Amino acid sequence: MLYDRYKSELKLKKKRNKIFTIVIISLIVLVGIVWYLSTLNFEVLNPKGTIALQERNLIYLALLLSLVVVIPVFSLLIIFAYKYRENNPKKVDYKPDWDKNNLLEFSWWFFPAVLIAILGVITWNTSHSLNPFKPIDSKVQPIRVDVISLQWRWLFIYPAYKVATINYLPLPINTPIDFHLTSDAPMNSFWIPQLSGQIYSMPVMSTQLHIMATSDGNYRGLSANISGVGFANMSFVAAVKSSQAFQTTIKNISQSRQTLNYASFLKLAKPSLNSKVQYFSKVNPAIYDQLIMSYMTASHPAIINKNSSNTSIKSGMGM
Amino acid sequence: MVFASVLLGKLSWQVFPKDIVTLGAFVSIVAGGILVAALLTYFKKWGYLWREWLTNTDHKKIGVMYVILSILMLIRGGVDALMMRAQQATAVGASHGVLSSSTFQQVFSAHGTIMIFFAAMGLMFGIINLVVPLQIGTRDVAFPFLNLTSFWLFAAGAILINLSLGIGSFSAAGWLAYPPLSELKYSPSVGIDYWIWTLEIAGIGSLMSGINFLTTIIKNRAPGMTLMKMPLFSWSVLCAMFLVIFAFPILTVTISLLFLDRTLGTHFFTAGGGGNMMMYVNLIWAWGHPEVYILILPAFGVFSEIVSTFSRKKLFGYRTMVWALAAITVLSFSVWVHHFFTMGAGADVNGFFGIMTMIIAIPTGVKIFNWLFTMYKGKIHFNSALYWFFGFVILFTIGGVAGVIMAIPAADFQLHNSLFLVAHFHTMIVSGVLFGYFAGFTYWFPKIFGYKLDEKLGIKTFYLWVIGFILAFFPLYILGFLGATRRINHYAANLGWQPLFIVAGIGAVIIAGGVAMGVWQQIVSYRRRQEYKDKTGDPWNGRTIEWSVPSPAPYYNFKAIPVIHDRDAFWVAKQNHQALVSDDDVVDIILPKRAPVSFILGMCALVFGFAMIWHIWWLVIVSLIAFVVILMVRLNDEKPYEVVTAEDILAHEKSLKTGNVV
Repeated sequence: MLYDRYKSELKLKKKRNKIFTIVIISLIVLVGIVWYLSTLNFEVLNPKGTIALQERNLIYLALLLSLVVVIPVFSLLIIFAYKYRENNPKKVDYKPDWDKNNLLEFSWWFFPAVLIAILGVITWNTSHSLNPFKPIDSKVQPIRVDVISLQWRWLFIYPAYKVATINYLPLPINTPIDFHLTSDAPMNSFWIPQLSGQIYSMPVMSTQLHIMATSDGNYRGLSANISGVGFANMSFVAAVKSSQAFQTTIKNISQSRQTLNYASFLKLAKPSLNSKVQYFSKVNPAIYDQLIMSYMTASHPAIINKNSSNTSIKSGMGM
Repeated sequence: MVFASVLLGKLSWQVFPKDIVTLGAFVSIVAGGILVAALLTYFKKWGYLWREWLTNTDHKKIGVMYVILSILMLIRGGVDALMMRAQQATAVGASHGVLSSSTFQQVFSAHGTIMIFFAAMGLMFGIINLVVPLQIGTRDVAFPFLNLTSFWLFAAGAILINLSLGIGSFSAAGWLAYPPLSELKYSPSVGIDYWIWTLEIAGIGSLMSGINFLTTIIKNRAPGMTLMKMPLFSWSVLCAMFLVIFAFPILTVTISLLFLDRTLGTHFFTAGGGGNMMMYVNLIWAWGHPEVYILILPAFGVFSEIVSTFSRKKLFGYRTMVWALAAITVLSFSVWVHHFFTMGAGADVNGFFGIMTMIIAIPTGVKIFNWLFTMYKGKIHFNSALYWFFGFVILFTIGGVAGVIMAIPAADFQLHNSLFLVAHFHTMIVSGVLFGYFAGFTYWFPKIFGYKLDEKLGIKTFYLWVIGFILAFFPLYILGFLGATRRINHYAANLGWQPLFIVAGIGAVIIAGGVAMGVWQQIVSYRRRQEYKDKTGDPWNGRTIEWSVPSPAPYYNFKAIPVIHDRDAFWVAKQNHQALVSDDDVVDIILPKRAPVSFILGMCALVFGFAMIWHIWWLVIVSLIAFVVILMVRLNDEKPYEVVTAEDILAHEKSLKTGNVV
């Protein structure tokens, strides 16, 4: 008797120990994960610009509103699965023919619809307020930057300063930036997660993006759309500086010996995996428009000087 | 030289792969093929295979072939996934990982293409073939010869995409090959052409299957089965096939235009020359978004059947379920722009499509609530098929929340093309589509093979999939918020992403374990088939008429076609202790003949596609003429069917009861 009791107590103790160990291990793992994640920079959730901030808040708001549906679904699933299991020792209702209830069905058409209506209004309003083509309200004069994605790097032209850079994007703080984007490469997507959402840069087309940085620092920029073998290397630094520091940087760039006109641009635009930062002075600000027009008028070298080993346009026309 | 180029087109000794990974993959596929051929020869099974399977127009056999081929393709696509995970787990900082950039890009392009077109679509058409005729009470589909031909076009596409491993290369432009990257200027190799012709051939097969099953459901239902008495799985297939018919022509035309750009030098989508790449993006998603619903609607149908059967209860809210399906079907054509809010369409357009996308969440939510209330006041039997349903509800809801967030254009700007997006659509497709078809396969397996699958191993398979999935994809949601984009073959070390990618890799390995466990389940269940035998034909206490016939379902399906009075016709008949049909109802019937021609047509299409890819123009013409002539000869067959007499049927039924037939 006594021995049996002793044995069962031992068993219980062992079981408790086991549960205790599992709890401790999972706690350690959890703390480890939290610690590891806290060392990372959640760029999308850690905005440094006005647009990125609003976009992040929008993500949080949508997540919160969605929980209104998620929580009931999960709870009902667990409760129903547990309560109405076949081998439930308690006696529970079984109604094999109960298959409709207008009020219930109405409720899950209606309440999600209300939720979606609320989200719909938010969607419509933010589509307009955060439209990348829309200039930012500010007393400060905006700065225009022309962005051209190449194979496989970024060219930034500052028309007002007649300078340009490769893979380096100095920006003044608290100043609206007016990006105009095109491409002399396959489609890319221009994205600086901490400053704003992305927009495609496409050949022949010109898209726009307006942002304003609110805190200085170096932020990662990248291409988010596959554009060939060098695509993963298309990262650049967006360096947000005080307006004084920005002016100094521009001055430094304008002392570069490399210059850029349309002819040297076409050389620069050839495919390259060299992602090193480069500076250009005496830049012809018309390069951006000229590039787009060259595609439209079919005077772009990629269109006129077709490699003869490829099926050329001419032979195609001859068919 | 000129002679060689006329004879061989662009083929030359240069086309064989130079990197060891691709070559190894190709060699192992070929070796596997040789092994299977050798085994078939050794066991003298070629004739059996040819007569009973490859040329058999029986929808059940076609369904099984679809499932087997799709599982093979799932494994092929899964190996691609493992390679991507291996690359991204190792290619950090100074290390450039196991794959070159161009191989990596081919691998993810192949992964997406294979998983959507061959794994998911194949499983879907497999389950549809297995179940729909039995569920609506017909002996076969409306056009059995077309059905087998569709399968062989599907198979031709599958062979073609695997040929790209050994001969030439595959597309490196992602699974949807956006121009101008996919244009000749940026992708001069044959990779894109492999992609185009794989999808042209398989896509036409899918379109014809769509026509076939829509017609079957509209025309061939058992007498008395009005549309509102039709089981919900068949309803979901009807909706999905409607989408196939409207969506797949868009795909075929779009990629044909891309083919013209690449081959004849037209300018539909080129950069410059008046081409408009944005048109391509719109068109491909005008197919691509309905495609998502094509895949998932039948899976919804599967869940409707399973939840109702295993809750031992009528499906809750049948009418709303049908309306929800119909709503999703229509709405699915009005949301495609949400795949490219970042292309700069403008606030009004983006806002409209964002709202439409959210509206689609309403009928989807309605379906989930109806399933939950089907369980309410039921008697739930926890079959492994139902496990997949529980996994689906949890994961699909999480993925749905991610989807609703991305439906807001301004939020999508920060999430598009990131790993958050990748995690989102994998959550939807794996938990929705794959789990659905795995559940369906478990559920209807006894009806086709005559024995049940091993339950314990089924549950283990489920857990491996779910745990593997969580480990593989939840880190990707996190990586998305960290600003990690999809399709990167390399990233900087100081970002600190590597541990997350390693966890994702471990998850992928666990999923691979799930696949292996599923295969093991098949082997074990086959060995215990006597023990697991389904003697009654109704192993789950089913509700719909496919459970009224013996298992495995005889080649003529029903000894006599039942007359339907209720939605759950078989359940009601059982409650009333009545049989749906009696031996007196049995009459002479006709069944479709075998169709070796379908196989030959598939092979013609394969040769045609290959010749198109490599510009072997004489072979293009020869294979095209062969295709048309052979088709015409078959279409002039005056008697493409054979008669099965009432005596034959009754004798077969008797033998089924005494168990003389395996």
